[in-house]
Parts: sequence; structure tokens; C-alpha cells
Amino acid sequence: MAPIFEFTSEWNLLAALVIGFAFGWVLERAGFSTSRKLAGVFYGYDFVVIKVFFTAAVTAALGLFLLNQMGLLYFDEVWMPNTFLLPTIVGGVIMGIGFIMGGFCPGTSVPAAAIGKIDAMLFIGGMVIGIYFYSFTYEWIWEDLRNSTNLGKVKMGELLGIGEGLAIFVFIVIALGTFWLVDTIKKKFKIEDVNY
Amino acid sequence: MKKQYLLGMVLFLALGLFVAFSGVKKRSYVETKPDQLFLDLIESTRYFSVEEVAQMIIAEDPSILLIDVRSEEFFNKFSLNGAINIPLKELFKEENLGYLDQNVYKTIFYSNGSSDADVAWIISNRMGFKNTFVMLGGLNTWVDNILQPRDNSVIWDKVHDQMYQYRRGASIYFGGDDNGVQESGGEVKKPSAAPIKRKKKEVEGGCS
Repeated sequence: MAPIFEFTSEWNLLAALVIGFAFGWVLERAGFSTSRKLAGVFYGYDFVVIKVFFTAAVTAALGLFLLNQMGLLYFDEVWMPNTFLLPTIVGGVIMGIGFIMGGFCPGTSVPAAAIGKIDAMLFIGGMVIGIYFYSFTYEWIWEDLRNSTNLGKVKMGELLGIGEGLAIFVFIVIALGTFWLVDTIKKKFKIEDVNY
Repeated sequence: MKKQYLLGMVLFLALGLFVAFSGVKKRSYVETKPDQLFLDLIESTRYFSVEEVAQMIIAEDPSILLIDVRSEEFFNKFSLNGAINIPLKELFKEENLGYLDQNVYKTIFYSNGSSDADVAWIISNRMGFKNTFVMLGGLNTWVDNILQPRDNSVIWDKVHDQMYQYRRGASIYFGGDDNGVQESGGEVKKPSAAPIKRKKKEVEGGCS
């Protein structure tokens, strides 16, 4: 069955639009249009972001695996990007700095701007400037870095040699352990839930 | 909130345990992709008109395999010359797959209308069998155009007239009623009793 549309199909644009609207709406309803909530994870007063990110990853992993078990989706036919180790680390650090400074990640800034948050609009402006900066300096600064340390298509299960199902299980245990950890931290330091 | 939270954790763990002990499934057979199937479906070359089929039967074309997907009862009442009967439900039985899974013949499905033959075509296409076709309009159109042809041209025009003359010729070959007298509606009778005026002498013969 999968992919629902071929990669070259124009219907992908429509599917992206519908999924995009749904994603933005859910982000907004979950309170992710507030930069204080997002920055809270770095300052240690709100851990919702960690929980949401882990839950999303676990749900997606389980969903993909269960669809595979039902014979509706085959991993060979799902596109996945190559892993470039060094550029991912560098990019992650740059994005992390932007995340702490701006209080948004690229995805959450859009629904926040859509409901009229001025800081989110400025954040998007900065993002666009960053994109142009990257594009115009790509050949001078980034090209070698961007193409270095290509590990190919890496799956955790294969990398660790334990099989994909078991890798998902280990990931779930790590996620639940993290949930427990942040809840314990919250209790121990008596961090109250903040209303924004 | 605490209760739902625990429930979610238990659910995640249970599903996690399930996936931990199950392997990744791989696609086990080659299947036509849905969009390719759709393109094939709207392609008119998957049809043969009844006139083309009649022409191939008359010419004794050795490259065609006519498959009647109706039930045995209907097949015994009437069928096309040289057709074999594989009812739709039995089409994909082991002993019948040999007829479909080959690259020698043009397999032409037919039924009363087009729908059962279309079903047979779609499934065999999905299973990756090549060279499959459908007789457009089925036996209903066969009766209308070949066995009981009517002169539909309002004023004389060459194309319609030639088609009509061709159909009349075919009608004589297949022993149809070329006077246009409709038989009592319903089941089509097997034309074996009708005197067949064959143009080709060589099909007759044997030692009598």
C-alpha cells in the first residue's frame, strides 16, 4: 500500500497541506505557540517539550511497525534520509542556540505567528535570513561540511545489531525512563506548573 | 490525569514488548502499483471489440485464448467457438493458473456484460499476468452486433455500411439471425443447430 502517493505525484502537495494544517493546529492547542513553554525545558521549569517529542517518536515508531505487521507498509519502500554525522551535530548545536534564544523551533513558530505572536514573526524573519545566509555562503563555508561523514541509511536496530523491534522497545524504555526522571526532578525541586 | 498517564505508559510498554519479539515483514510478491493499475484500467487497448474477436475466431487465430468467466451452466447453453470455461470464482485455482500465467496467448476474458470479465482482468493484472484483455460489452454485445446485426445507418455512409456488411458476414458464419428477428428475450441459445455456411472449405472435412 505505502507510499500512498508516488514521490513524484502532485497529490503530495495536497497531502502536505492537509497534514501541515493538522500539525499546526495540534501544536497550537498543545500550548506550543508559547515561547516560554518551549524555552522552559532548557531552564528547567517545564518539561512538556521533552515528553511530547519522545511521545511523538515512540508513537511514530510503533505506528510504522504495527502497519508493517499488518502488511500495509514496507520499510524498503519508505524513503529515509542518509545520516551525516558531523553536519548533524553542528546543525543541532546551531538550532539549539536558536531554540533557546528565540523560544521556538521552526515548526512551532509558524502556528505562533499565525495567531499573532510578534516574537514568532520576528523568529520567522530570522529564520528566512538564516536560510538566505546558508544558501549564499553554501559553497564557501558549508559544502564540504555538509557532505562529510556520510554513514548511509542508518537504522538504530541495525547499528546496534539487535533488530528493529527490540530497538523500538529499548527506545520506549528510555522514553518512559526520561518521563519518570523529569517528573521526579519536578517533584524534588517543587516546580509548579506554569500558566501562560 | 495520573490514571491516563499510567494507562498510556502501560500501553506503550505492552506494544513495545509485542514489537520487540516480532520481525520486520518484507513484501513477498510483486504487485502492480495502484496508480499503474489505474493507468492500465483507463487504457482502451485492454479491450477487444466483438468484431475483432469474431475476426480472430473466423481466421482461427492461434494466438488467442478465449476464457468464459460465466458459470458452467451458462457456458453449456452458449459459448464462443473455441472458448474454455473457467468461472470467475475458480479462475485463480491452482489448476487454472497455467492458462493465465503465460506469455504465449492473448487471454481474452468475456462474460455476459463486461463487469465479470473486468473483475477477472483487474485481478489478473494485479497478480502481474501479462497479455490479458476483455471482450468489450461481452456476449450481450456479441448477440446485438454479430448474431443479430441491424443496419443502424440513417443515411447511407460508407463506414457504417461496411461495418454492417461485415457484421452480417460474421452473423452468417456464426449462424446468427441476420433477418433481425428477435428471439424471445433472455437466454442466448447455442447456435450449433443452425446451418453454418462456411466460406472456408478447409475447416470442413475429415472422412465422412
